[in-house]
Amino acid sequence: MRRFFLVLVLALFVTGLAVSGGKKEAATTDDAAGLTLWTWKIAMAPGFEAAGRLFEEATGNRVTVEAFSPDETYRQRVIAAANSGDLPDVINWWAARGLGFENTLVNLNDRVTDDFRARFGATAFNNSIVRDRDVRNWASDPQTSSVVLGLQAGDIHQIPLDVGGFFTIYANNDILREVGLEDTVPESFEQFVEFAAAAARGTNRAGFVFAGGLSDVYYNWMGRAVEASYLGVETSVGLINRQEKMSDPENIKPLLAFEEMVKADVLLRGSIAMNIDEADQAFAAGQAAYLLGGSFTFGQLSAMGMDVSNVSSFAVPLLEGSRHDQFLRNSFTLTALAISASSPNQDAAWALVEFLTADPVGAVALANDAYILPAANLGGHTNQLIPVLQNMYDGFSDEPNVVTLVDNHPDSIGRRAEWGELYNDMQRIITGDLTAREVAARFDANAAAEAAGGN
Amino acid sequence: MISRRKVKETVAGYLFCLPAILLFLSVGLYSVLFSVFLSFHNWAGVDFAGTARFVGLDNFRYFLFGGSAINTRIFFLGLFNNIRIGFFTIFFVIPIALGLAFMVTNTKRSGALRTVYFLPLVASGVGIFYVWRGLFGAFGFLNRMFSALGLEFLVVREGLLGNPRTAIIGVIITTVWAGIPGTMILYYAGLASIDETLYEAAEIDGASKVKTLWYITWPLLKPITIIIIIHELNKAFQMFENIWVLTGGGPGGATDVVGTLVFKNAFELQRYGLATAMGWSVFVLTLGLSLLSMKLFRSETN
Repeated sequence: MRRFFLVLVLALFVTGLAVSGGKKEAATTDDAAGLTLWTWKIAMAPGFEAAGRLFEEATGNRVTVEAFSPDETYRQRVIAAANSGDLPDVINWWAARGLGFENTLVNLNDRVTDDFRARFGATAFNNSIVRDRDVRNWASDPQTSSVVLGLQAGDIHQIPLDVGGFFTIYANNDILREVGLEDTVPESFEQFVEFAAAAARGTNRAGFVFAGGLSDVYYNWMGRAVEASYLGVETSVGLINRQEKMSDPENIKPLLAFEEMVKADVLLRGSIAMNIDEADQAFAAGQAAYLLGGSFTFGQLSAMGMDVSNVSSFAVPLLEGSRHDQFLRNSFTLTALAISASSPNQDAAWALVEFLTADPVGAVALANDAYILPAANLGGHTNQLIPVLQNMYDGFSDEPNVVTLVDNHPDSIGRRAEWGELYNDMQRIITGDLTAREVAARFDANAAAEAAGGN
Repeated sequence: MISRRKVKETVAGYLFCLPAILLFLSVGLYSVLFSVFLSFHNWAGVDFAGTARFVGLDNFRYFLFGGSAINTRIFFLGLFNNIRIGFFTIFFVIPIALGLAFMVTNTKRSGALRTVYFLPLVASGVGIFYVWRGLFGAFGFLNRMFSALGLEFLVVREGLLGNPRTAIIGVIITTVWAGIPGTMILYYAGLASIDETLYEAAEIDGASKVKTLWYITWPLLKPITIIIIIHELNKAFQMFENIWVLTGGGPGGATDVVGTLVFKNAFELQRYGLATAMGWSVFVLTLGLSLLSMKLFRSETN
């Protein structure tokens, strides 16, 4: 009897090992495939599910959406799954070039034809297609991984899903009314600071709030537009390429303007330690007259319970004397969809990706439930977007703004380590530990030291 | 001659240990050896065999010897933060924990006190550090309390964690707070294990309380103190959780420690080789300090 139980236990053990260790059986056909999609955007999950149901009705392929939060968890989950060959069929990821795990994704070069690209906005693929300059810049950076070094110009591993734009100031007209500035768009950066200061003086609130706890938010959401508009494309690219000095009397002016804004005491106390949600919450709670945000902020404020009927928005104001006197808001791709190279249902997965990204029916269904702006060119379907999305969609210009021109400049080497230090140092301007001139000098010294080190 | 029974017992003993040994070899030792190997490679995290690139000592050169001037400076600033957090933690935790251990040992309400003092040990770290973050905020409890008490000079306008000069103080306060219960347990156990007859003999010899404390209690607690110092140093060099929640390494990188730099390089920049090299550099330092402490410990006990 004892031997019988021993054999039974052993048999169960061996069976268990076989089951758990066995490879997944690859499906031989895509007919009625069950597809799995991963995302880290919890708020987008209902949209994926709504569009997934439409996709199932049309194709018979069921879509399972799995969302993992926060960002760090999702990154690790995807990297771990990529290592073990367990990636889902479709992966939602930040739209970028040089992801580092392209070797586990399907190369979509053949699928993305000119006709397919024509179904998207003009700049939608800017973040997805590897360019010559990317290949050149990666080769010159000693920390570039082999996967990225193996990419070639023209490679595409992601299809744009949603677009958005930063460089937006939100105004609380209830607060601004108290100082007679409701619905008044400042004509310059200097006037914006004046308005914010007036609001701070005339009400019991702060003038301006942004997520100062994240060192790069001010620069990437506002500072770049102010700087590039003032300096122009060539000088801005010169700063990136280490040919220009930040401490140059002209080049330092955007940084000095930032310092003046800080000195005007318009920032909400504690904003230096705030993340994006906390800054949005502070604005939604009526603690500041202006908020720095993006196209995605409006939905966030509404979700936080703010009465958004008295909130208006405008593009970031520019410095007086800027070479570009108008800043057009361009959209750029925020997130994209990729297909796992280990998916047994690659054709069905492509059909789903196409439906969610390029097909106006799928894109609109997703957008309306996920509160995102589709990357697809919606054409006559734009009016099917909910009004708030439709307004934002129409607010973007197709003409490239100065920041887009800088970002896509063919000679740019890309921002290197000195920029990360600049963002940190700008936090120290807020806290009064560094002046703008000191920050500029440190930036120049850092850039020179990195260049000398071959980085 | 060894009996057959003895051999069987020995074999059985090893067989019982085998699962644990296999687990350690497959998970523990493998991951340690792999991470050493990884520190000499450039790797983005996926398919090591197919994509890792051997770079020799370049990763170490990058952040230790000025390969990247910025990253070298950031690394040593992070290391300096580890050291000062470790120093101040030890400086404050030991006397506070020892005092509390005395209190708990010599009071009738020791059960209730123990529960209160051990709370930080059982509470969820991330949750509690979020509470601390709120307390240290610009409009948090700390600033409000100082204002209410008329101590305006102690109010930090942006909050304790919002100023590069004071943020590290907030980190140290939470580290001390989190370190007290574990240290107190060790001292409590140490105090309980001291032979009562030693105190009785001292009392008969007319020794004062202070002398008893200095010549009996403290020497007998020295080995525990050295263990605590090693433990706190290790914790300081592996610090990550509270800083990530409290400041994320900011503002302006003022509270970055090696742990946050490792995390940023590995999980945000996908530079796993570089991150591992940073981790091993700190390990070597911690190992050196631990060996030194152990040597001190041995000479003390001898």
